Amino acid sequence: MSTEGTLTEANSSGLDTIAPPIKTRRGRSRHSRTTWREALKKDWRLYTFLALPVLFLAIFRYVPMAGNIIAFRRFQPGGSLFGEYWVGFYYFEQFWNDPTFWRVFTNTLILGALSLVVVFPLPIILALLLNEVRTRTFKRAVQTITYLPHFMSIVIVAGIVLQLTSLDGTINQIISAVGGEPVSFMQDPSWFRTIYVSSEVWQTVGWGTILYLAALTTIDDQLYEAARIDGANRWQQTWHITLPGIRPTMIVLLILNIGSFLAVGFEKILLLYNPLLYPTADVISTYLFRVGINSGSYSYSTAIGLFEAIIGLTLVMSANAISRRVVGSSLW
Amino acid sequence: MVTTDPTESVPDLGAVRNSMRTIKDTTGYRVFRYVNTAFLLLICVITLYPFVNLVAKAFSSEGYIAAGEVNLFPRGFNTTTFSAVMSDDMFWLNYRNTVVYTVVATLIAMALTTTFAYALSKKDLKGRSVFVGITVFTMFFSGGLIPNYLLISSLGMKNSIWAIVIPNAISVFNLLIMKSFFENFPAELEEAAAIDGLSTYGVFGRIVLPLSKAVLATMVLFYAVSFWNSWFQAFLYMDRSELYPVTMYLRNLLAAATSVEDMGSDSVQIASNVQAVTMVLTVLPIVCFYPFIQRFFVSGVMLGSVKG
Amino acid sequence: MNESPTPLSRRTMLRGALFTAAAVPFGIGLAACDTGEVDGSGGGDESVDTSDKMVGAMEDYDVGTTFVATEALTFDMLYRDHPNYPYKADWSFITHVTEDNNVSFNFTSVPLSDFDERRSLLIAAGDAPTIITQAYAGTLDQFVPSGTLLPVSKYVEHMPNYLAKVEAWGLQADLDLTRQIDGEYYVLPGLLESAKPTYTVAIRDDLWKAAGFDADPATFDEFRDQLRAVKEANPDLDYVLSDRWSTGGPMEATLSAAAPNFGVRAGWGFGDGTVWTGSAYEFTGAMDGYRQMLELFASLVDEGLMDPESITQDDDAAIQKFTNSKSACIGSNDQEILTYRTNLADAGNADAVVRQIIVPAGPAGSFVDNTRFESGIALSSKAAEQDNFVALLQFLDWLFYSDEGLEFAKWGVDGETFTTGSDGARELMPDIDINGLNPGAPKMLNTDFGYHNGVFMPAHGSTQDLLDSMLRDEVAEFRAKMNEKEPFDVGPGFLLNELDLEQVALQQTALKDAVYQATAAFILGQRSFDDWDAYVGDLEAAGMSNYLEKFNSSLRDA
Repeated sequence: MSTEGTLTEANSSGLDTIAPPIKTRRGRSRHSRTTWREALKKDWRLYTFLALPVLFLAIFRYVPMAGNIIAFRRFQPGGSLFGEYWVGFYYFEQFWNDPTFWRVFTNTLILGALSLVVVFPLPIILALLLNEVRTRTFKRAVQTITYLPHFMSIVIVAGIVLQLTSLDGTINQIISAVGGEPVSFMQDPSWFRTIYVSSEVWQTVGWGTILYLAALTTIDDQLYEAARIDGANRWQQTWHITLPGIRPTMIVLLILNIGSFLAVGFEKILLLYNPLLYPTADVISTYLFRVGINSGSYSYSTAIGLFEAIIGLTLVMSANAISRRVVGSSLW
Repeated sequence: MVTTDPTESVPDLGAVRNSMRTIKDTTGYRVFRYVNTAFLLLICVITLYPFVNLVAKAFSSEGYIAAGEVNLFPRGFNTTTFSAVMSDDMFWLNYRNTVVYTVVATLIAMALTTTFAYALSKKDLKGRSVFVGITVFTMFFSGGLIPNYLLISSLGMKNSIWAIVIPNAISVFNLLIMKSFFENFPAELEEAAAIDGLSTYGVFGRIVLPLSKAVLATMVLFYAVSFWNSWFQAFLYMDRSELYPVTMYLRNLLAAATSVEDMGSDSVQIASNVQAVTMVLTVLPIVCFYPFIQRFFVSGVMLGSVKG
Repeated sequence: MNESPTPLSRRTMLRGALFTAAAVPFGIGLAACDTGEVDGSGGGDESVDTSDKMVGAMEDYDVGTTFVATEALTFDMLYRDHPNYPYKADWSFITHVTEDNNVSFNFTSVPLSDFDERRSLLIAAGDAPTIITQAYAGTLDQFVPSGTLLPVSKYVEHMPNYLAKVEAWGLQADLDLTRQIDGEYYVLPGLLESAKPTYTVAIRDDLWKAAGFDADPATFDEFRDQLRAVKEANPDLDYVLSDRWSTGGPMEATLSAAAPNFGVRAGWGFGDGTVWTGSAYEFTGAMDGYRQMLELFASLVDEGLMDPESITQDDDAAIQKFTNSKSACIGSNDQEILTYRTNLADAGNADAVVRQIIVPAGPAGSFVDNTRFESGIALSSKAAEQDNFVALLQFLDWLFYSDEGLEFAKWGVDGETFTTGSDGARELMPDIDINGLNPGAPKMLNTDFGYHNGVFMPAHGSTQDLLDSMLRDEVAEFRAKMNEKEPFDVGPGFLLNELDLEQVALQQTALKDAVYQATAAFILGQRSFDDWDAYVGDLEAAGMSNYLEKFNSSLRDA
């Protein structure tokens, strides 16, 4: 979309790139026939923008990736970075055949999916609710207060959760007050998921609204005016203007979150769980932690890491493709 | 700036329009607003309470904390832990480190991320999907701790600020969000500017960036907070305590309070109190910083300047 | 936007890990090299030629000599920076070592908070400094195969003080249990003349006396009786015992201390779960002794004597209950008891008296886990290539193992930081405090002078004399009485090769998980003991026999 110099430049291809906005914005690149030389000549400034970041990625992300080879070679801590000798799929088989691994994998999936489904929509709703607040100071105050939990160290949050759920903690006090039996929440595996997701909601909802609030500012006020003139009430305005306005942000975040949903919070679970809760609380990272205390089995955890990474990548690509087909916008 | 002058609009909607323009909401909407306010207040209480509790603990004495009697207000008010921490020169040194690291890291990160995102947002760019692809790929595949350590070490970056500000300079998450914002930036504005003779750099710097303040502010916030809270890079690559960021200092302090090694003496900080103090000291600057960011959340894209 | 999500922030687990490593008898032979003859004992002490590495070394260094390097030397060392005594370059300790011993240090400073992780990373990446401190045999075995650590047993001839103590205190057999497959051992442990049993239960002595009990319970059954009586006499107690230290598993500290008396291992002492029964290794979780122990604690819960939340609550909750007199008994060690007393005093309870009891005997007898190794030193294999290698060994020997060095590291310099009375008793200078010995003194022995520093004094003095010199009487008495119990037999030990070791680690996790879950369930009464056989069946299904087989087939030669 860049043009060089001014209109007086006798560069017809330059003029051609001022293509109608709508079409090129929604479609794929229509210039896939351009050769590299032409592209470089036309967009060299854009490519300069790319140079440093790509270099960064190459050095600081791709070079270390070579270390993943130890999933296929035996690594001796202290020895060669690339392992000592080939073992092929030995480590993959090791976790593939380990029933404990599948149990923790399932837990990871469930916790991740639950977090995604529950935690994802809430910041949006909160942002929308905040958007309806007319008083600026109140709005700002609420914003600031609700994001505070994001900054609480996990140790403290875990402490709070344990305190709240203990037999004489607040929740059980409320239950007793309405005539129920106190429940030992942290000793019953069936409660863990609820507790975990709730604490996630509490911690992340406020922080999550920030991005959406930023997105809301990009919606043109005039659209609201026009809608009002046409007789739309607030709800209709929200549905037809606000939501579509922040839809690109939602899509991006959704796809990204789908990709990373396997990365369920390690430290929080570690602090909250106990052996009674293993059936639902034990996830891949906590399991690896217990396995790895004395054995330093880097190869094994790298193999599992690769497995997770492939899953994540596949999920993102699928989500992306689906999004492109259904909604029309996607990550790439 | 475009204004809506009612007299210029279609006249037969006059009455309806007037009622709307006096901002008289429907009853339903008003009820909703009250409920909304109440609900938001409730959320504030739920999120604020633990924090107030923590601040109270930070100023309370150990006995009351151990007995679980500290609620909203400090009991046995004292500032021992605070003064012990703040009278330590190392604390201030590390604090200064954190500020420097955060500022430099955020600057670098923003520079790289915004330019990268802008370039990637141009759908016509040849090779674009390849670039996005290799970026997204790094979200999932990483080298692991030891390869990264060896890389930084062999680049001679250990024990210097570069070990902290460079390795995490681009967050793919932030990058993709910014890219999405740029993609939805009204192309007409960019084209108009281009027609007026601005080069890509000019369009970027003079048109796109100034009108994307909300996003940029958000990204600055995200990066700054993330760098502010990070201790892991310093932990990996710094061998001397003068180079630590303050988060490392505080984390260490907490470990000391809960460690079994040393015997009871006055200078030993007490666990729960230290936790609370640590939290307060870490969060305070961010809470103070955030209002500055909020200011940017009101500007919008001025579409009106491109009408016609 | 995210922190590196590696599972390394183990701060809260550090204590657990540390104690696992310490309390685990080195029966966990572990690891190592390739092939070779499995020579578990003796082996590898032949002299190695070090004549070209004598720079700075003393020719006539022996027991009783103060090490003075013949040339100024600098050694690389891993230093654990503790916030209570942050490193100062002008510490008296440092200046004395430079002036008197002609040695200076080049520290790689690692914060206390994640020390284990950083140290493991450094070694794993091959970047460790020459001297690796705070080393436990158990945790470093994983690094042996790569050859990045020095087989230090080959060179101990240069360390006369170390050898003398090992001999005098009868530690050679224990040391041999740390040898790897190649016959060498890689960690110079901190030595203790006698063991330091630390964990037990603290009781409200005032309530105990009021119920008529003056003496410690001799057996666990008696303990239960005492709990019953105290509960009856004090109906407003919620529970008599509400335990703590359950972060990694149910009541790990208490079970760890109790288990040897039932003939098994549990809690922090679980380790690999193997128990030597005289003829073979069995798995602790399946043994009768383990069942008996669980039955005891289950009965406590059943009778309302022990708080069921002991199994899972966090320490603060347990401490709170004790402070508020909702419970009268809690897990303890010699540090925590001070905290309990302070808390009770702060809460306004002037009548409360807290004391620790000796761990009672159980059906298997009266046993204590008496490891006499503390954290020690490991050396990077690069050390052997330095030309001041022998001097390095001699210096380490002097500082960590000679009576003079041990006293220096703990007390400082006679005349400067302490004085010795005519009866040999040491006293700190009146303006210096440590451990509350001179309360109110303006300076601290560690913070201001650098002595009593955990890095240089891992065993707190090693010798009984030094150990006791700073202990409160009650602690010294406690340890003495606990040491009267019989030492728990760790068996001959075993040697596994690396691949076996990896598999063992996986199986161990599965088995331990099963045991811990069952432990919690049985104690809480969620599972009835009629189910015991089914539980053992679960362990079998998780591969218990196979697991034990690996150990039993690779026993060390006696």
